[in-house]
Amino acid sequence: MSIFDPERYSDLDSPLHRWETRAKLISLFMLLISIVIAGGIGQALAGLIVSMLLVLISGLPLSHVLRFMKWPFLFLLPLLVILPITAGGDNLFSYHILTVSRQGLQLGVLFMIRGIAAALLALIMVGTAPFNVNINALRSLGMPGPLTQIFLFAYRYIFLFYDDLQTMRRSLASKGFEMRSSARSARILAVSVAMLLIRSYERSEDVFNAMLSRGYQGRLPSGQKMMIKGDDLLKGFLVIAAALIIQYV
Amino acid sequence: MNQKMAIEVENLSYSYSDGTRALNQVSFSLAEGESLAILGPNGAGKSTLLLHLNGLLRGQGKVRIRNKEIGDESLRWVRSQVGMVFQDPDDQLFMSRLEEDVAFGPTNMELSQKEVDERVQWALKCVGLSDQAAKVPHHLSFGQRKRAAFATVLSMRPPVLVLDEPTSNLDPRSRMEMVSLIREQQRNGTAIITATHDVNLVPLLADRVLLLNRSIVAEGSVHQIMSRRDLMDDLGLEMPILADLFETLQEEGLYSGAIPFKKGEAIGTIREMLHR
Repeated sequence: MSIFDPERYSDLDSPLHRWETRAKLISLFMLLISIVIAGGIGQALAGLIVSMLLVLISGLPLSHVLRFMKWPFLFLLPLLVILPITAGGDNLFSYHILTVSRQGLQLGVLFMIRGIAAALLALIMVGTAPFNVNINALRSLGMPGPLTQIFLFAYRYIFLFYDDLQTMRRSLASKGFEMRSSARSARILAVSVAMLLIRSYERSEDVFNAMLSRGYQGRLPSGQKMMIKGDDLLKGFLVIAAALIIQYV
Repeated sequence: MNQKMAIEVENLSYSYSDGTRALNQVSFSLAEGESLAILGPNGAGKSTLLLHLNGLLRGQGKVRIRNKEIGDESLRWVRSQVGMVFQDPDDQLFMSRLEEDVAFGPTNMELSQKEVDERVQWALKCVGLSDQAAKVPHHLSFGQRKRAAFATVLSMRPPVLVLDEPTSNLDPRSRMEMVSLIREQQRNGTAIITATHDVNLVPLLADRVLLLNRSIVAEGSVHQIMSRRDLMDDLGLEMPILADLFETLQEEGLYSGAIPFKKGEAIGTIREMLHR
């Protein structure tokens, strides 16, 4: 299994891919805020519908979307299970010692819908433009230089870290290691992870040397100039209008 | 003839923070347009020596690049003069797009955007990756990443190139492409230092050889050094396969001429032997 590459379909041609990145990030971020502060299930559902519509317009393949969405879904699922039986409120039904409350269930569903909608918007943000374009846009919107560099390098090297992790797993398997719930397994895993961290540290030193050798003095060169056109503003207006309407559903 | 020196190293010594002596009184020089291969076993200090040539490490002794000593004031200039290609291309490709990586050096040299763009196109063309400019580095093959790392330095057009194991882990075709690339730069007047374990490629890559084992063991032309089985054996290095073959024939009294290092020379020698 390979690592999920969010920008795999960043070169498609859709209204969202063509949208100027800064305008897109600001507009989608406002929509995201609107969904996250939605107080009722109706509002959250409206936000989810808008998010799904945007994913549809983006032309991102369903398999790509589902592969991304499984992680937020797995993260949110426990809330849907735990909140109905832990939050107080009207008794919806009981089974043995478990009591499901109406308010708890509503809260769980609300969190799930908000989370899914927000994750879909996040996928559109990172998946409809190359990573470097997004980073340049964020820098142009005022994100501090050191933070930009951290994001840039984290993204570049996470794939190598994943490759190292896979190599380590294969190496352990080739020597007959099987994961068991024992102190020995835990110790071997801990040592392996420590080795990965040491290797990452060494790589960071080598990368820094490579940067210095090419004249790095603490700043990354700025990217290409961007320009917001009329249709970018129109798209922004429509998304922000949707964000406002959600608040009045 | 009074040649201009690209690199001069005088009595360079360096110890790591744990006290391990990595280099001991190393001295050598390299003229402009010359190509030198550094050979030595693992831990001989090859990479450590290369890091000194770009001012990334500073030991005791002197390192001069084109007659200017490396110091705090000259560091920026030195890095525009000495292009360093690291062994692992993933260390060198740190931006999210290949073209950004190739533009990184020229941009830091504060060249105009037009010139940066021209250099990026030129460097990518030199390494045959013009059509991969917008690619993400981790989507390139290892051979492509090696060439891409070379392009990130070529775009700075440095008069001195320092290469750490440029052919390691490459398939035979990629190795020969890399050799042609290095030779082409030398023909254009670039001085080149290559640290390598690939003894068979040294005769194709370099004019001179420096044997290093923390201090300099021997230095001379490729023919002088690489035909010395005693020197190579002492350092645990192999002789190039052709040299090894003809050296063995010499030891057995079957051949008495000069040791050939290149395929063409060896074929000529074998033909002569067969006609005798």
